[in-house]
Amino acid sequence: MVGNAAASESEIVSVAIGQWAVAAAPSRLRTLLGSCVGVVVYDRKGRVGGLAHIVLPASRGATDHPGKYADTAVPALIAEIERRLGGAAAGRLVAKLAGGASMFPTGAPSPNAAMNIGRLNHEAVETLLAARRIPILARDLGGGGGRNLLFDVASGIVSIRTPGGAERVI
Amino acid sequence: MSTNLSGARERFLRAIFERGAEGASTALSRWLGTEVRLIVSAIDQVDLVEASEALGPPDALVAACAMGLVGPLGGSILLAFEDRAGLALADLLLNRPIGTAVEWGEMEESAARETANIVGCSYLNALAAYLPSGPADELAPTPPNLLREFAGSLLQFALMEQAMEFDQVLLARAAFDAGKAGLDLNWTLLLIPDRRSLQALTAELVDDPRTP
Amino acid sequence: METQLDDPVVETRMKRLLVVDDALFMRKLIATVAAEAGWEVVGEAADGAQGVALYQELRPDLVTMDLVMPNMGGIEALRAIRALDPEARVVVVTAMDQKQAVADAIQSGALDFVVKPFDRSRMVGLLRKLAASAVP
Repeated sequence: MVGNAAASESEIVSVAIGQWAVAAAPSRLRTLLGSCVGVVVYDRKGRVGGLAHIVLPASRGATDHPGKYADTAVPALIAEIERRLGGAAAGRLVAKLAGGASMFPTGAPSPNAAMNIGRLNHEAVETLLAARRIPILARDLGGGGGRNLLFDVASGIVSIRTPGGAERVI
Repeated sequence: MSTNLSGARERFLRAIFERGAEGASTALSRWLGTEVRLIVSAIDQVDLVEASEALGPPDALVAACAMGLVGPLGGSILLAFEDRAGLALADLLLNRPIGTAVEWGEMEESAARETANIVGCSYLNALAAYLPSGPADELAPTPPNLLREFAGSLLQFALMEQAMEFDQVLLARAAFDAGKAGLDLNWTLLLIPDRRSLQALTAELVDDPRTP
Repeated sequence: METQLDDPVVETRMKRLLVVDDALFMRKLIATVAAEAGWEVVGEAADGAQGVALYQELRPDLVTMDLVMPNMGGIEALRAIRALDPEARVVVVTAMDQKQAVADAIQSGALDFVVKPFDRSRMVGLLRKLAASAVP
């Protein structure tokens, strides 16, 4: 889904689970991650960037929730960024990834595909970006906890806050 | 594809979750020495965006005891609360004035986890009577894990298994009510079944076109 | 047959209890209740494996055993303890209250099955009764 990207001063656009949004500097984009993977793609020179909150790796043909799946969200995100830039941004787009944490340990014995979703999302996104030759400048993936992510389009800085209160920047 | 349960199945689920809540209310009241009820607030069948708000604003920090489910039902039970409500419960159990504990120590954490164990088990004990069962079919929780997490991230983890197949996810919500005692014990219980359990839970019902 | 004069030391000593439960809070609660009933807690274990090891080491007169625990659950620990000591006396104390759990516990050799949250005076009564019948 395209978020509202009217670029007012320091506007923060919230990206909900299974959605994506594109905005121009000085806007910032934020989302809350668990096993989902947050994909940041931006053109620093063009001062346009986007964030997708991906839930599952493959849509298998489903068309009604494009933001939910890596294979539909990533292309849609890139297409919208290029549209805002007025054409292909060949070679100028870069990406950063975060999220993909494992489920909290409940000790439930049943082996569960859901436990691996974080890793599967990560792998799917890497493949999609590589195919478009978009370099991934930074990754903050895995682990066992949530991430509160804030992406600043102007600088490309992604800051991540954890439940413990620690904040890091990638 | 959505989980959307038919009217009859949804009512059946609500009825058995009520039984679970009643069983848990009795146990909890005995445990705390004062009347506390679990009130079933909802059976939600909602999209992921709405589900991520089931414990309030997604980026709010919550404390939670998480338990997995073993046996005829799979999925998880979460007991979520703000620190204040968690520590208040510990004070109550330790026979101290509410507000004594200002931070989580080993005893306070243990009191919270054991409360979660008792609430979770008693809920499941009541539910077990309504499930198709056979020999060696105990419905049990795994030992509770106490953690602090963003509400939205916690829900993401718990709902991911359903989200793999469904656009709408199902969760049963109940809230502690210690109103009579005048206590603020704002704990929320969430039961999040896995996909196979959503089938098992309504296996007793036969789809009857006459029943809406 | 023992009389008061035969072995006064054995008659008056506190009976020795091992408490197995993953919750510190519950171990302390059981210890307090047990003290009222004339039991001395000689060991505490936080999981089944620790429980079995401590049983081996301490040979208590009685064990209280939780069921849902990490590392090794109560039924498995109960069986292991009964295997190494067929005279072992174990009372299961658990929040699990389903037919299968009770059957498993009794069949595995538990003396009794107490459901949490337990009524304090009933628990004291049970423990007093068990203290009186403990083989010295």
